[in-house]
Amino acid sequence: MTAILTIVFLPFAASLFILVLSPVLQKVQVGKKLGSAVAFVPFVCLSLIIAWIPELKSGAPAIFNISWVKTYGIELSFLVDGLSILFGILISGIGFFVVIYSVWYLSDKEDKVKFYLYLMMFMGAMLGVVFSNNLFGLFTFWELTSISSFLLIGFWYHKEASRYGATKALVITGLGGIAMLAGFIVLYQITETFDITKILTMGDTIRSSPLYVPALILIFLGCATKSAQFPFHIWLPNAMEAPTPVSAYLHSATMVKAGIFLTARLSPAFSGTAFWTALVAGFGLTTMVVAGVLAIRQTDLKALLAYSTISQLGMIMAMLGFGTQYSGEAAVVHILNHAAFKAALFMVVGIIDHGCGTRDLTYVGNLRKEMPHSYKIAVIGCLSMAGLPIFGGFISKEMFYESTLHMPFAPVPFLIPTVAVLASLFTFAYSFKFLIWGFFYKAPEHPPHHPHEAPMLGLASPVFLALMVILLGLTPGLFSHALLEPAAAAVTGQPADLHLGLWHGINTPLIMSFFTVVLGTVIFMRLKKINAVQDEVSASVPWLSPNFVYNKGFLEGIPLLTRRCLWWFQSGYLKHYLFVIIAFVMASVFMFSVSQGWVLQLDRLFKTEMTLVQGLTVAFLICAATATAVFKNRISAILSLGMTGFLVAFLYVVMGAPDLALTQYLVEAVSVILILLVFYFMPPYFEEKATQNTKAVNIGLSVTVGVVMCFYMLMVMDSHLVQSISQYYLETSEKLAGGRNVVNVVIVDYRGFDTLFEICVFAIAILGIYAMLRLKKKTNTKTREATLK
Amino acid sequence: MKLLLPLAIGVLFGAGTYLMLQKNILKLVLGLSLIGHGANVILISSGWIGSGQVPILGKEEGAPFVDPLPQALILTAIVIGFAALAFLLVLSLRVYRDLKTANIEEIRGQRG
Repeated sequence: MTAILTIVFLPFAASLFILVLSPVLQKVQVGKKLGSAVAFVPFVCLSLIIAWIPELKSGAPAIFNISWVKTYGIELSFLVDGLSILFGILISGIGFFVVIYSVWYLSDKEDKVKFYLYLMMFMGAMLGVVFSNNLFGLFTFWELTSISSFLLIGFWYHKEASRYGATKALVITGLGGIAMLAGFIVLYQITETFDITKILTMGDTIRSSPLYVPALILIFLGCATKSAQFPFHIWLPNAMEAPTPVSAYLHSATMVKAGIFLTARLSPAFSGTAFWTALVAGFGLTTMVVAGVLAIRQTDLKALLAYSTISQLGMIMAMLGFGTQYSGEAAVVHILNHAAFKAALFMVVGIIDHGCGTRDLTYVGNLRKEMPHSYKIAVIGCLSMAGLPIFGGFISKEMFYESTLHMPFAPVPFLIPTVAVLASLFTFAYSFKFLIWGFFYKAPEHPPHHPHEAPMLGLASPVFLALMVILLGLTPGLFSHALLEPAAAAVTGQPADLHLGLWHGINTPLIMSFFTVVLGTVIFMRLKKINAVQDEVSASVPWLSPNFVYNKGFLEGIPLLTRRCLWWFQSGYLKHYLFVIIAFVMASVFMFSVSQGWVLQLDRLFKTEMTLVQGLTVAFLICAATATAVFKNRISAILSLGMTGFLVAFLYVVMGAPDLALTQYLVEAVSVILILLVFYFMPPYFEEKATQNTKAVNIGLSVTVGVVMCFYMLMVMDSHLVQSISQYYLETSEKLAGGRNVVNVVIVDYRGFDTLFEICVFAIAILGIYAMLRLKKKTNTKTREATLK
Repeated sequence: MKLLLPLAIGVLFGAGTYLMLQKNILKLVLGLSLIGHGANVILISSGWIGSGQVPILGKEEGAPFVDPLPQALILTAIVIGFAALAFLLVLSLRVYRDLKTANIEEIRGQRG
């Protein structure tokens, strides 16, 4: 329990610690000390995770619960099994090397405090994602990775491109996260639990549920955006604006694998259907091919690696999509391989960038003499990426081919293996482009400064990772039993038995590899011509790229739409607002009458008795109200309004409400005086210069309101929706409150609080009036300063 | 009477709306006042039962009482309506003093 909490929360604690100390740290020159100190955090996490491995073999995964929102079944629950251990090792292990590397990479001018603050936050969030056993806990950590990634991509926020890249990543992964949350809620409808281990045992229930397809699509949207699957991949190349240690960490080994992780995590519950294979493998293979085609075009080495990462993520996704036991094992093996060689290659790019001042192949080339150590690392990394023997990449490539041969629900025989080989051709080509163009060919232009190799501190991390790549190829057994088999078992739901090796005899995958090498070399030889064609295509059809949709549709379209809507809703004309309010009220009155099924019964209305006095009062009232509206002279209008008020008061008298009449008389008299007083200070009525159209609309709207209210009242008066509580007041007024005037008793006793608040309203109005009359207009600060001088 | 009361309410609301749609800020105030009257008449009508007795206990004559609850509500409404009227009047006075106009359309976008 303590161990797992330490693993997840130690990075957060470190982050908080740096945050608290940041005022002090920012003053002193932290130099390289801060980075070295921070490296202890991933090191401790890594050691704790590795120490856990022996316990894994003993059987069931370990689960730790902390209650969070108990009533909704939301817990801070952690699950330690093979898959989370594998990812935990990747995150903390590569995290450790990245921190070491960053100590060299970041110059003293950079804001290191902020950098490590964000980086530790990200690491904690990522560890939280992979160890979560509750969907809500996972979602929380998932969103934290998006936020910290946003901060890290935008680390050099003074650059326009960084801000663009950071926003893009946040928007795309954030929208995916929302879809995923919706998916979790749909999943809850099926399983009625947020507990991941419980969900994993309910595979059959989930697959047979009608909600299976919507839940899968929504959750997969979250995975696909995070793991940069086509067409959501566009954020990843822009995220390369981040400092290289960040790219090596987030955008090769960890964050982009979060989508892979979740797909793998949930695959025992979801996989095994034709829809799963079509969706996940379809996305994966498309991404793999498209990103491969785009990668061979790049001249920026970091962009090349970015597209290559997208392509490799597609490959892992495809293997998860096949859903067989073998493909699940293959995916796990490739996750480890890819993390090792890709992180090493990113670090090499960082060294080249540092040493030459640029990482563009137009300026950088023939580096093998100036950078002999980086060259060796690049050879190992690239050959592994291309899938050539003796390196880890070869093993997983072979496994990928093998799994395409035995995939279920294959649409057409040989189609998928062919696509797999096709995609791998591009992988081969861009790997060699990186290696040969970067280290052998001479670049057309000169770099900003003469290339120089990085010192030991910068080389240490990539060297170690390159050693891992070799070990993964030569002695895969070292990892398979302890690490990969438990992980594969968690993905497939079956105990795994891996026999990894470079040589399995001459079989179909080996022949496919042979074709890959031969045809890949052909593509590489013609790369310049192919690139020229690609440039032409992308220049002539710009809308082909999803970037076009994001830039035009999202970045420009949404503000435009918002402005349009705002203009429509908030025109600034009082009349428009009134119009909307009136129309809404009228519509709701109408809807309510219809929903009550009210019918107008005129014959009953005519039968009711009415005295002459009552009739005359109402008739006069109608005249007075109309007069108020139509008089062009303001004194007449005010007097008509006063008349209306007095007639209403008289109406109260004839309708048995003497108290109201008294109050109304009093208030009306004061009102008329007040209005006259104010009007004295105001200009006379000006002429309403309105067009015929406006007049017609005004009159039309007013008549509509009048008619609707009239009919509404006719129907209300004839129906009794609810029983009045007045009988209670009438019965108990004397007994309980000791008053005979029931209206007065209601006011001061039964509804005493109403009256109290009414007095408050009055007091507030008085304060407002006083303020408006007495307070002077504030002069502008500038003019005030001027007068002071 | 039963037909006349809704008619009066309709006219009060219609005339009030018409005044509110004008450009003069004072007409807006008058219109609101009319609609306030209309709302009160709606309330009193809902409790009306033709010929009822004033709800004061002690001298019952056999006829049923008029509903006292709407009356209590109207009593509150009249007072609050008066407070709102006074507030609006002074507000328009202040607007005229500071912005030198009583036209709602011209007030738009100005800062005092």
